[in-house]
Amino acid sequence: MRRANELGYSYEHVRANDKLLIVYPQAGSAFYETLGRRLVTSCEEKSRDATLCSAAEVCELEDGSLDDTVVAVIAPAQCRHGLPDRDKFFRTISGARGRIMVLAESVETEWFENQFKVPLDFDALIDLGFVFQQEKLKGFETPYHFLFNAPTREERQTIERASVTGRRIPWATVGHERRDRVQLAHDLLTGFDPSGFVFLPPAGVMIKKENGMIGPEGLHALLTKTEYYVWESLHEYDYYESFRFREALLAGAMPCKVDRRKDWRSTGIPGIFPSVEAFAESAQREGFETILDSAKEFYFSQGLLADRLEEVLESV
Amino acid sequence: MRVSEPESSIADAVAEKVGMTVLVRGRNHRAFLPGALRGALDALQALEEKGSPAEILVLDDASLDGSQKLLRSVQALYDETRLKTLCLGESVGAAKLLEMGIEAATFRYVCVMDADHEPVAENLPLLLQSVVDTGAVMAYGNLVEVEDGAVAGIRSNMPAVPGLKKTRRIDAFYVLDASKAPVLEAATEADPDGPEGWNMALRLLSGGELVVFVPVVAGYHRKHSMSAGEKLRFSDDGSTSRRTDGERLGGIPSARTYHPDVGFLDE
Repeated sequence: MRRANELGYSYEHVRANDKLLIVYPQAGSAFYETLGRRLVTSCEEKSRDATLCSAAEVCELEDGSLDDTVVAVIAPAQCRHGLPDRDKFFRTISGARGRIMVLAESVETEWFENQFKVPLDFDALIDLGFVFQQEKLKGFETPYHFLFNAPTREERQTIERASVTGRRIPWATVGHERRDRVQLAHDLLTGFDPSGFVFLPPAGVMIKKENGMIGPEGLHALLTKTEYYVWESLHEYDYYESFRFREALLAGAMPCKVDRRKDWRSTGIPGIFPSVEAFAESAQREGFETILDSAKEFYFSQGLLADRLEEVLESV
Repeated sequence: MRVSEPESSIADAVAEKVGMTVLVRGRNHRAFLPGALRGALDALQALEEKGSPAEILVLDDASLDGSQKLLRSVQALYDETRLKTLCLGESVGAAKLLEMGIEAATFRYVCVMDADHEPVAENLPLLLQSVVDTGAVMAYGNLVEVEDGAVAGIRSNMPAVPGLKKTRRIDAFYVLDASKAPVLEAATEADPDGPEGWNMALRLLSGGELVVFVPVVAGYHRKHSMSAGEKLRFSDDGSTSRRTDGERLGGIPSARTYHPDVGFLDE
């Protein structure tokens, strides 16, 4: 998107030959680093000069070193945590040629609002997901850009190669504890298969291997042995968790969201059900492989993340 | 301190018998006994279908609500050698019932539950397989709480982390390796504060033993006024001493997360 400077001349924020620094929060979920790596890979596929850097590593950069760099910050509010020098971090980012915020979250949550309470001005927001959310943003001044969370080239190959056999776990639900999710587990147990996998630790418990918690590697290992990866949202807002869809397909499992309130059919996203009964009926009628094929077909039809990201960067 | 070989004669006897004893403890839980027994009988069938011999052992702690009459009727009705009931004339408490149950168990592995629990029969074999695979002394899974017929919450829903208050909700529904009897005796003689399952896990972890959390729904807990929750179970003096919240227990490893079809998930 072009903006006018004080003299009325429009200019591009992200030029084709710009250096791009992608910053991720090193504290908290490994999801952010994974997202950062995917964005760097996608830039490289389009011959863009992109580098990945943790928020802590930004504090080690020299002042002025980002004068000719556009910085894409993933979840800036999370970047604040565990920093050796918070002021240095914000000062360094502020000195960049341009700043883009990257988020993968419902725009209606308090978590989303908090991202804009950091002492940084952003030139654009990139919303990574499956569903456009701009119409939900009222009085929002930062230019909004939707980036479909498409597969990278390597991810597409992984999904194509994933085996569908040897899956002894009928379903798995993983996430923080919430009454609706316990109900979901109960409904799946009684209405589909009793031997599903249930990991719903109390909210606020950090994901740490030393706590016996399941990290990204454990989740992937689980999903390679599972047919259906089933979840309900942690919050009340209409949002599709595209990262869960991706995690499932990469392991050869079928992503299934249960949403008892919203009708998602207009989005075309497969595997969303209004109830466990509807899920069970579909699974029993169509079978795992047929439903999984529909999810793969949908995902592959969205192209590659590199192409999608390039379109967005050209318009930022 | 890890026990490498069982020391008691009881442990020697049970060590060779791989199978499961489902130990049901109760005191004034008559309203819940039918559900518990039905679940236990279904579990028996599920275990045997997987090739594991099993039995049910019901210990009643001097109930005054008709539980013992019900148990005698059930025993007579079923005429089932795999179902044994023992009705005590005087209350001895949950810890002593556990000790008695382990001593009387035919099999090496004992699924401990209270009469207000109902096992998910299909998943008990997964808990048994988990202790066999890993050599853990204790394994437990999720317990869904039900109140007035509706889902009310969940307990025992993550690996025990010593010192992490949120993980203290481990109820008295777990599988033990009774061949490690000396270790278990030391554990049951320890500090009775806190939920029994948490206390057992903590003591075992403190002794360097392996405890595993198996992410399946192991059973249901019927909430009622007699539920122990954070209280000392079957306490005759009504004491409800409580462990210090937030007590730091550095250096003690957490329980591990394991599923027989995946392996350890926390590596």
